[in-house]
Amino acid sequence: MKHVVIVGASVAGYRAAEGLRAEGFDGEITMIGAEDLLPYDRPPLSKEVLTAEVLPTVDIADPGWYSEHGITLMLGRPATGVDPEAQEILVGETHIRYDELIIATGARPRNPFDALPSGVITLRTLDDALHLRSALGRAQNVAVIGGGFIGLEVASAVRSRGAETTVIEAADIPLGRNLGPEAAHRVGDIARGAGVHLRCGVGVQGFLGETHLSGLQLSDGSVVDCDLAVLGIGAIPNTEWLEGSGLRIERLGLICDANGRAADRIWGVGDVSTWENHAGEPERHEHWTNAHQQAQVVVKNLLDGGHRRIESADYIWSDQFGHRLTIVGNTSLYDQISVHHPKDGSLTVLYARDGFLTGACIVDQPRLAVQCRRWVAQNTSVRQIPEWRGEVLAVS
Amino acid sequence: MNDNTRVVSVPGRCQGYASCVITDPDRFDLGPDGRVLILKPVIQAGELGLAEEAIRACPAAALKKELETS
Repeated sequence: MKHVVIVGASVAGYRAAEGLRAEGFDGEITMIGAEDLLPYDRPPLSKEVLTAEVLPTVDIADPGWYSEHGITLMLGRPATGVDPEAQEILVGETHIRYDELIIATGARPRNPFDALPSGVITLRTLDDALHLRSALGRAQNVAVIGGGFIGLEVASAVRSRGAETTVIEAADIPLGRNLGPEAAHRVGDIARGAGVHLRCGVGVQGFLGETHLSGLQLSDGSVVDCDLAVLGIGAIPNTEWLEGSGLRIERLGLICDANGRAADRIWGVGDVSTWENHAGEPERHEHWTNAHQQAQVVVKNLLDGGHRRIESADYIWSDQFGHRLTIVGNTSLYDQISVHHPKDGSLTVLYARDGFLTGACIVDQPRLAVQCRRWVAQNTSVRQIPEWRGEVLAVS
Repeated sequence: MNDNTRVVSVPGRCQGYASCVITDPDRFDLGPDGRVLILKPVIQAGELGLAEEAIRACPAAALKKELETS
């Protein structure tokens, strides 16, 4: 094997390159990135980049790392197509031949509106984050559209800067895509306790203001005044450039098997990809840990033709309103739930199916969060879990 | 003369994500403060692969290898 081409230069692409070298691959590696920036980490973009007085560095590796490890970077030009028969990637007019291809083109913010007026921002890239950071310096009243992780973290940043914020969530609870109502209500309480106006069960119909944003028109007829709005209602995978390639593309992204293979010599990692889960269903995760783990698995399978899968429990973290929220494993398919909510403000929600722990939602308590990652990965019976206590509910 | 490879934590970087603890539980743990506790700093021959995997797994890039000459 001579040449591995990695399309996408964010965390999944970088981890693939790094993993190949760590595993001793000494062939050629080319990394193609649409943005004209070295790979950077996205988790800080909705956290420290918005709040820290001194802008933190978000580079994943030292700038010298790439040449030291013989990685050819092609940045600032997106890949435009792939020809699996010819084993070629197209970057505009340039054809690049590969022996193995790793697709890591990520996702972009979902935007159902025709055009976003000045004062409405999405948050995905470092550029977006710097734009938002500077806008937050002037804003008095920030509307956040979408009560997911990004939305709540942005709201947290706004509150820490002392401005007013309203979070508008179309579902009845925040974080409903990741959490059941038991935990979601508590997370909502934390946001409210920090002074966030949380409006659930209502959609945004349009934007108000002539030259600059002055408010949002909501679906119940009411208006939310604001001088800045952040749109954070999910992401869609960047698969358009793969159309016509013969690769299987669905709404969920590039379809891969449980080992990360999309086709012969072609692999998918990170937000763009959907891997078959243990139940044989396609599942897409948009998280740092997932991108990292998928890259590790793909690198090893690519090098030795193996059939490794992701074995560890899903792990998501979010820092908001001075608390660490940790979500482990599967928190949506459960038949029993244990809720423990002591006075210190921490929260433990454990999810079980057929008597075995499948997931957890934990506020603060980092040591318990680690333990839950182990328990879920080892399919532990709830009878062996001392924290299985508090209010235990059977869910039909 | 002995060359030891050690793993050290970068001061102030650990965020308590504990991905190292999950990857290499014999070497890493979380302390009562929720930050990394390095139980076995010296990486013996044969342990390098797992230790490096744990270093790479850190979302905060809070761990690194150091060559110690004694």
